Formats: sequence, structure tokens, C-alpha cells
Amino acid sequence: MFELVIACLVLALLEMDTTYLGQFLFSRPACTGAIMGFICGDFFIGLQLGIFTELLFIDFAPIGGVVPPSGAICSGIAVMLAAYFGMPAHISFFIGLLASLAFTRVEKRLRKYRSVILPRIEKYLVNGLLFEADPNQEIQTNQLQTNAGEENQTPIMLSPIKLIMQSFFMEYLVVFFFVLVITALLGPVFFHFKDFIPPTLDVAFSFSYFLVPWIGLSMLFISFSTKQESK
Amino acid sequence: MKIDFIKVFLRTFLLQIFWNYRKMQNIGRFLIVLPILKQLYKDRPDYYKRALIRNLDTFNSNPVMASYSIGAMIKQEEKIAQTEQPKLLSEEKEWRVISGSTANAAASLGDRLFWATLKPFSLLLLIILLYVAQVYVLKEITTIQGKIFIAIVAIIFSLLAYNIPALWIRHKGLKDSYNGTEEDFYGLIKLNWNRIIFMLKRVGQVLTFGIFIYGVYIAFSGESLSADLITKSALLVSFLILSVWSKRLNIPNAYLYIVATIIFSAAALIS
Repeated sequence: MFELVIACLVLALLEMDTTYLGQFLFSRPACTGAIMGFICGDFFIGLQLGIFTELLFIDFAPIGGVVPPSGAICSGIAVMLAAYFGMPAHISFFIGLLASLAFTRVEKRLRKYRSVILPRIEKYLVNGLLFEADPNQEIQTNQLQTNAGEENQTPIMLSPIKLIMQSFFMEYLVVFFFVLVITALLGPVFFHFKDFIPPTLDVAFSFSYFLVPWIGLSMLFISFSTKQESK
Repeated sequence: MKIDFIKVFLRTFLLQIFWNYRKMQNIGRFLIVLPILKQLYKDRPDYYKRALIRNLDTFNSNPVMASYSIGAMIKQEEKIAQTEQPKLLSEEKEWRVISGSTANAAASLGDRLFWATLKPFSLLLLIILLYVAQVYVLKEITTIQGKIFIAIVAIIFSLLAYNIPALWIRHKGLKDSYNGTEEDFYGLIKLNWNRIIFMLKRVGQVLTFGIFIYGVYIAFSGESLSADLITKSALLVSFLILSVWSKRLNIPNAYLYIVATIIFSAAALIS
């Protein structure tokens, strides 16, 4: 259990790179899968699950306000289920994919929540900065649009550093608990009931898993299409 | 005023720290330019307050290419700081025009270059390097042997293939847009982006075709002609056609995979 918690902490940290901090592509599934595989003791399973995830997710892009499923969460959960609970890669990959689709809803809720608290955050930020610039000046609490019904109160201040830390840790904890709950629930369930899985079902999952890289490569080929590009 | 571009550059990694549907990356942009605003308006508290509120406006761009917008906005902030009251509103209006136009253009270019081209291209490089090192990662997992060191080097190489241009453009964008004018669209048209994207995509297409053929050869070599092999090949071809078709309908392949798994599982359970 301790190892699983550590792995989930690392996975949550990698997931932060997807949107919130950096975008250095440490959260790309091929990289996350390999790192998680290394931590969980099966590097190549991790690498393969990561590459398969990235190939399958090639047509998801975070363009505009779109929240694509997280490749890091898909590959990370798949690796942990495979390495810690002996789940075959072709089944854990499927579960990882479903988990990443479910996480999209969580991520959307987080963004909506931030939209709701945004006016207050803006107000507190400006208050804090104005106070920092001149502690003697009168801070107005109604400079920015606030939620309907909110009355003027004593100015609340927020420093930029505090905002960054709070925002980062809130997202980090949500991702951490999400991956921990999914893995800690589904892993033992599979471990106890694996003997009841019909062999034919295993073959079915195995075959659809076999299709993934080829479908992915064909998509990669299409994504490199230059039809709409001008020289 | 001397701008510390390194400081601004380092802060650009915070751009998406408070992504929200209401004003998207506004808090991130605010945090990036904050030290500049403090410096510019230290003797003008009334202007400072306006600048803080102005910089909380909606902002949305590609995280790498956003530099091309931020540099231009910093330049305009300098102009506003030196403007006297009668012209303040028009300079602020100009700031909003620059912010909107550069952010949109940078977003469009960045999404095409980084998300749609360079990221898949670096994945392709990773797969090629692994195949060169005989780590046949697209094949069944049991056939993969050792060579962890080579695989790690390949992963680092693919990360560098993305990050070196991304970091360079992030930094160059700040300087180019700060020094740019309306004539060169704040440095955005200094490089021929379309040509870069076109070339990368063309090379990517050739390499993908090559790795596909070689991958199929590696995956199927050594297998004798049997009913199982023919069935596998026929289903593979069918799903390739289906995936192209689903792409035309804008259905992501992940859903095609889920449907395939459900159909195969149902067929397996029925039989």
C-alpha cells in the first residue's frame, strides 16, 4: 500500500505538467508510462502502455477550452494495476482509458469551480497588491465585479505566492486521491476475482489491445496530412 | 526601462496555473507581468490600480506561443506608463487590441505547430529510436528484452526534440514581440511558420509510413500462414478503415477502441 501511495503521489505530480505547471511533456503518456513503470518495477510494460496511450490519444488536443482525457492518468493507472495487482496490460489499459475519461469530468468541475471563485480571487489579489504598494491607502472592496448579493466587507487580501500554492495543491490533491481511489479499489477487486474471468474474455481484450498501435499509427499518418497546410 | 526577460520567461510556465472557463489564462498572464507592472507604476498608484485590473482581462493562447503576446503587451504597458491622463484611455484601448489579436494568432499557430505537429513528431522519433535499438515496443510485451538504458536515452531524446524548440520559441517570442511593431505583427511573422509546419508534417508522414511497414513486418515475421493470422489481418485492415472513417466523422479513436473491446467481449461471452 505504501508503494502504491508513493506511485500515486508521483503520478499526480506528473499530471500537473499537463496543464498547470510547465508543459515540458513529462506528462506525455510515453514518458509518464515509462517513469511509472520504472517506479512500479516493470519499465517496459510502462513504456508500452505509455506509447499505446499516446498513439490512441493522438487525435485529442487541448485546443481552446477543450479538456481532453489525460494520457498521464490513463497510462499511470494502467501501469499501477498491471505492476501491483498482476492485471494483464490489455485489461489495465482499458481500465486506465475509462478512468482518464472519467477524470475529464472531474477536471471540468475544477475549472468551473475556479470560474465561480474567480471574481473573489481577483478582488483579493488586487487588494493585497494595492496594500503592499501603499499600506495607508484605502482599499476598496468593490473595484471588481463580485458575486450578486455579496456585500462590502473588510478587505481580504491574497498574495500571488499563496494563490499559486493553493491552486497547485488543490489540483494536486484531487488528482492524487482520484488515482489512488481508482487503483486501490479496482486492483484488489481484480486480484480476488481474476480466476472468474472467462479465458475468452481475456482473448477479446488482448485482441483489441493488439489493434491499438496500428490504429494509432494510421491516425499519426493522417495527423501529419499536409492537405490544409500551405508552404 | 530594462526588462528582465529571464524573469518573465521563467514566469511564463505559470500561465495556466489558474485555468478557468470565465477568463481562461487571465490569472496566469497577470502573474507573469506583475513584477513589470510593479516596476513601471511604482510612482503612479492610480495607474497601477488600473493596470492590475486591466491585466486581469480575459486571456487565452497557446502556452508556448503566448510569449508573442506577452512581450507586445509589456511594450504597450511601458507606453501607457509614460502617457498622460488625456491619452490614457486610447492607449489602454490599444493594449486590448494588441492583447486580443496577438493572443489569437499565437494560439492558432501554437496549436498547429506544437500540439498537432511537434508533439506527434517527437513521439514518432521515440518509436523510431526504440526500433533502431531493437526494442519492438509495438509488439507483444513478452518479446521485449532488456535495454532499459537505450530506452531511457530515447525518451530523453524525444523530450529534447520537443522542448528545445519550445523553450527557444518561448524566449524568442518575448524578445521579438517586445521589439516588434505592428508592421511585423509583433515579431509573429519573422519566421515562416507555415513552411516549418509543412516540412515537419511531410517528414513525419514519410517516417510514419516507414515505421508502419517495418512495424507490421516485425510483428508478423515468423508467423506461418494460418486461419488465425488471416483473421487477425482481416480484422486489422477493417479497423484501419474504420479508424479513418471515424476520423472523418470527428470521432476520436479512443472511442473506436472502446467499442471494439465491447464488441469482442460480447462475442467472446456469447460464443
